[in-house]
Amino acid sequence: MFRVISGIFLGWALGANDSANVFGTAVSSRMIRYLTAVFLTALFVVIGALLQGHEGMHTLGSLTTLDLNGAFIASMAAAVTVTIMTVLKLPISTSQAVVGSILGIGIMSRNINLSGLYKVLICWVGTPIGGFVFALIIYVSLRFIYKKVKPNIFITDSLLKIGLILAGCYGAYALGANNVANVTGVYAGNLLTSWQAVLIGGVAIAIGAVTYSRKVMMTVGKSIVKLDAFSAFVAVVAHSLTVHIYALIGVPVSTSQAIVGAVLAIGFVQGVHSIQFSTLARVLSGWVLTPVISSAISIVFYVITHLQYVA
Amino acid sequence: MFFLFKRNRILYTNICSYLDIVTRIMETFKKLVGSYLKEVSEAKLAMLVEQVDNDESDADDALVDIRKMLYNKSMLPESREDILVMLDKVDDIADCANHTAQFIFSHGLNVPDEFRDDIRELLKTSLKSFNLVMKTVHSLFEHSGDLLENTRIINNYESMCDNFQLKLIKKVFASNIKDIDKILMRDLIKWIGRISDVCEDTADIITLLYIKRAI
Repeated sequence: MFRVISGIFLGWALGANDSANVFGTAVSSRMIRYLTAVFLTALFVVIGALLQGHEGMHTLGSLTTLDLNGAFIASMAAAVTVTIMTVLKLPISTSQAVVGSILGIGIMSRNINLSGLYKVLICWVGTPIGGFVFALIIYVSLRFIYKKVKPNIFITDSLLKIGLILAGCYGAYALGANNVANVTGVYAGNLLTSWQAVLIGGVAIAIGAVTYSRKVMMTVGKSIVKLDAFSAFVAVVAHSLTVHIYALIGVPVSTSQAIVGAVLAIGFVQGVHSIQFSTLARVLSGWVLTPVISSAISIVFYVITHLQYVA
Repeated sequence: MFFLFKRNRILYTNICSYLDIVTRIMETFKKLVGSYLKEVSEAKLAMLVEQVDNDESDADDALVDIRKMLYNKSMLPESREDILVMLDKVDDIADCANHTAQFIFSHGLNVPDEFRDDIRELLKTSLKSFNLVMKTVHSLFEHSGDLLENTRIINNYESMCDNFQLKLIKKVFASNIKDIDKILMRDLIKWIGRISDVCEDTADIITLLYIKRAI
């Protein structure tokens, strides 16, 4: 059972990092108290994981068949990758790290299901595109309605404030539903039942959100507030919709990629000049490097744990 | 969560009350300058000066309450800051009127006949500018009226006032009145003209807020 610890550690790291994507704006701008935000995040992450987290478990499980050692190595390699990429200040995707490490083990054990991999790769490309398209549609539609209705400044502010809180709750739900598979998916079917896996994974993400999300939340929030509140609301809703849809399809995807796609769409609508292409290049390089590095690390871990057979 | 609507509605009511107080100050100020130029009794003048001063004090109290409400998590932080900056500028207009009222009362300057109509004209343009500022503030809140056209007209009023002030000061220094009266007249002209300057500053802030909030 101790092998689940690496999964819980990964869940904790994911919760600490990714909960910033859903409530960062509202907390850093003091629209909602930090404690309220992390409570709502924890609650909705667990609900999302329990109600709609099972599909992703099946997809990850179909990539390769892992024994308990393989599951432990996959989680640990993903956790190490996430840590390295964070230290290098490169944008990270826990989903890519987990899939990369599972593939690394699959390569070594000559046990890879390529049809499952295609599904995952297509969805990875589709995540930022999904965020982009949803943000574009939501932004343009709401702007049209806003210009027609012309609500007064005080009603607009109340609507945006409530909207940001509801969007945050929905984002947390989608985070739990989609990303719980990254955390304990590798244990589902061998050490844990699907229900146990989603519960433990959901709680681990929730603990990460409650115990260590403040710094990232403030950082992400402040960078998002550089958008206006309306754009921030659109970005969070578009990101949540995208991640939720992939949860329904059953592919764990990156919440960061979804929100980057959404923010790019807003930059596109407001004028291409507002997009920082150097930052975009860094984000793209992170997306390519993450699965490659996690695969390499899991291969190294795999070789180390199998050295006895070489002799 | 829907208490937010109620809280913001109360805030809007308070801001409207504050703007009403400032409008009242400017109306009393208009009466005061008119009475001053008609050389009414000092008692009546004192009463009007006191009324401006009391209303200005009420406006300050109302602004403090609005500030407290805004910091008590009413509105989004960016709107909170923008509204405060704008209301502080509106408060500067009221301050300007109060200072001018105090100046008129304390210095006991007797405006020579040849300048009375000029002072009335300068005041009239400055107050036109103020009235348009009030209309523009409401336009910003309600998304009504042609806000940018209003701010353009306010800028024109300010230019008119500046040119008129310059001519008037030249006229004062070319006249035969006492030197000390020339300096006092110049200060009076500048105080009244300053109202349109502050109105222009307020209009500039409103324009920025409008552009910033445009979706």
